[in-house]
Amino acid sequence: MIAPATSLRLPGQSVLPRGATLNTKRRNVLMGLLSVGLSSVCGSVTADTAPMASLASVVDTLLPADDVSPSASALGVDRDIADFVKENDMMTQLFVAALDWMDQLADMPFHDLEPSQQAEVLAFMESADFNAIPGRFYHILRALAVEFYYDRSGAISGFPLQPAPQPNGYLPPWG
Amino acid sequence: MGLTDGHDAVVVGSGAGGAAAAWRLCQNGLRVLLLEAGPAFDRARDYPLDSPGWERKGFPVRPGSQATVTYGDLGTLHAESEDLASWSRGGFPWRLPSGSPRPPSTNGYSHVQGVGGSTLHYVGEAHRLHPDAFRQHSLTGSGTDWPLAYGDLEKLYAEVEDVLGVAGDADVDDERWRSGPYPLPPHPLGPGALALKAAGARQGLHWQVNPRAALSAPWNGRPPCNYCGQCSRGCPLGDKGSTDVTFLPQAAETGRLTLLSDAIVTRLHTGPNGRISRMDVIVAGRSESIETPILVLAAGAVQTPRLLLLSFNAEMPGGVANGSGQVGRNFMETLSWRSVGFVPGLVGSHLGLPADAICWKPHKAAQRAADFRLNHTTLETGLNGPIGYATRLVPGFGAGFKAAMRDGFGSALAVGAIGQVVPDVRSGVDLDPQQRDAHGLSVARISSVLTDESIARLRQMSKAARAVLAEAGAALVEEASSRDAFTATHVFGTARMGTDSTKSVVDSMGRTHDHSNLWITDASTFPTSGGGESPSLTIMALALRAADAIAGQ
Repeated sequence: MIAPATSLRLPGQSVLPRGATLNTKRRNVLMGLLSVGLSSVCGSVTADTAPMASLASVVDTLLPADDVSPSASALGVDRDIADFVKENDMMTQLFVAALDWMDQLADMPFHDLEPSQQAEVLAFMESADFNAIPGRFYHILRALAVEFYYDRSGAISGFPLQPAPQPNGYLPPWG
Repeated sequence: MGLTDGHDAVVVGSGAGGAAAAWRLCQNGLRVLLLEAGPAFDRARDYPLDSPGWERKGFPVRPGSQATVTYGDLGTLHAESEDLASWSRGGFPWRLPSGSPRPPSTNGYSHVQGVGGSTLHYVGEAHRLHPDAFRQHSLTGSGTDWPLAYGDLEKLYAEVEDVLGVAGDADVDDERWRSGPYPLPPHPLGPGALALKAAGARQGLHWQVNPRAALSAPWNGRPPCNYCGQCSRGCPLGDKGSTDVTFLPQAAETGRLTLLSDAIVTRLHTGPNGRISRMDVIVAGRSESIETPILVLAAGAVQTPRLLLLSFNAEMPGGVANGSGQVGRNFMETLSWRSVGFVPGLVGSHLGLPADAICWKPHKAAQRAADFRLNHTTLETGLNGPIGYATRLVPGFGAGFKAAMRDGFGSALAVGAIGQVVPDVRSGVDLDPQQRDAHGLSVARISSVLTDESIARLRQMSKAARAVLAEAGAALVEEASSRDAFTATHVFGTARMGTDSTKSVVDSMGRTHDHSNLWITDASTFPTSGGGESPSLTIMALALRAADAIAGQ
């Protein structure tokens, strides 16, 4: 059911929750963890923390279905991310805090917002301070979402690519 | 042949220098025991390029395939070089502030420990050093001269090219004079390379086919390249000239090669007359002592000095072969720059052979060898799949982002630059005072500080890369360089070659000044880094030269 339009309470950085600003050490650790994690295979534990319920809606706002390729959740990207995040406590804390924050922006959780409102929230987060939770979460989530999404053969419809470079390669002519 | 006897020579390391030395020694009739610290890879099993998900997988990491290293002084990110800071339109909007220590990148010292060494993940640029590179100090006043000349290596270069099956165009680089043509015809240029060649021509610069150790036609039982574009992820066909498909099988055919993988050399022991008498090796968890009638070290410019330093004793407290005090010093990293732009109308830049085109003289006025080169780098920098575009080049989200991805794919154009490094006095490889490996041995610690000269060269490299992209009509979307992080695939200088035994570790043939039966055939012997040439061909040529000298004793 699509919820009726509701007003969003998108804050300025000055009204972020106490403790929302990430110090340099934590930021570096997060960045390091993300870099390491992206090069490894995810574990099998599924995130079931309540705020994670909006994750599918968030990744579908990032990567919606169109007439060429399916949405992120249709390819299981939300499950891949949840599995990945579950492997690291610090990353889990970031995701739970950020998704909880997103669910508190209106009188209904993020996944019940109108698509235009969902996009408005992400647009705010995209331009938010990278050293605070909304901005940091957006960029980490986006990096994970596009990596898991375009990893699937179903996502490369419309690209001049084979499912894999081998066994056929790409023989010339290339013009 | 047993482990402890029956061999005439022991070679440590099976990459460019070790495999080439072993091949030549076997050809010369010597029985060779080749020890490789890492595992053997299986092309069909280990290089996952035939199923979806390939783009998230780099060259495989297996137990023992990467040595642990730590980092010391890597310099500081100075405000004066902020104009060289890395950025990307679609990546993380954050970078280390000026004043921060320069960190190692995720890859840091990028290497493979395994049968084939780092040739397993190299792109396979097959460069001869420019003749002027051997006389760098005489010509420029910077760096040092080599104790040999291009002419001493020319025929050896040709032999190496024949073993690898190098494809190139002999007509386009007459400064690196040749005694004969390349073994194989050049690969065709891809769409990105053609765009750069056209833009360069309008600038008055000459872009040409980059000689590559990838087969343009069948060669010695190996198939030609099918242009999958993934050389650095491992070549499943075997057309790339890594040593596991070239020197090593040909050495094995002589019947005189014994190759042991997962064999970790832990210490060298000296004997009478200053010779290296034996070495300690861990094989399959057991410690062995192996005699070393002749010992050739080819573990690379990080692990070779580490082993020499680890082998200190009462008579040689500074380590083996270190009478000069130069072991571990003069470290040179890979000075690199990359600019990427979108070129309206360009189609298919993800196609072709990686690093297919090069510009040796990025300045119109250059009379001598330039101190850096430019090359087409779209494919090897990872812009041949959608994840590379989505994580680095194309910002945003939603339906518009997906459409922009499809519309833009194949129109990104990347120019790379690699330049000469003159080592800073703070740069070097030593033993980490704290961290030990699984065998209780100190790991190698890399320090590498960019000099003002290197920063100035990076700035020249950036200007040249930006200029050719601008001429191609590109709008910049990403830049990255050595300024912000230490990343090195080519490392040099830590057992430098020279005629003066007080200032160098090995002589012009690769034999250590201090030990008559100890030779070094990796890039640690390079007195200079060259002007951006990839070093593998020169490492191999020097290895043949050393092996011939050994056999001629």
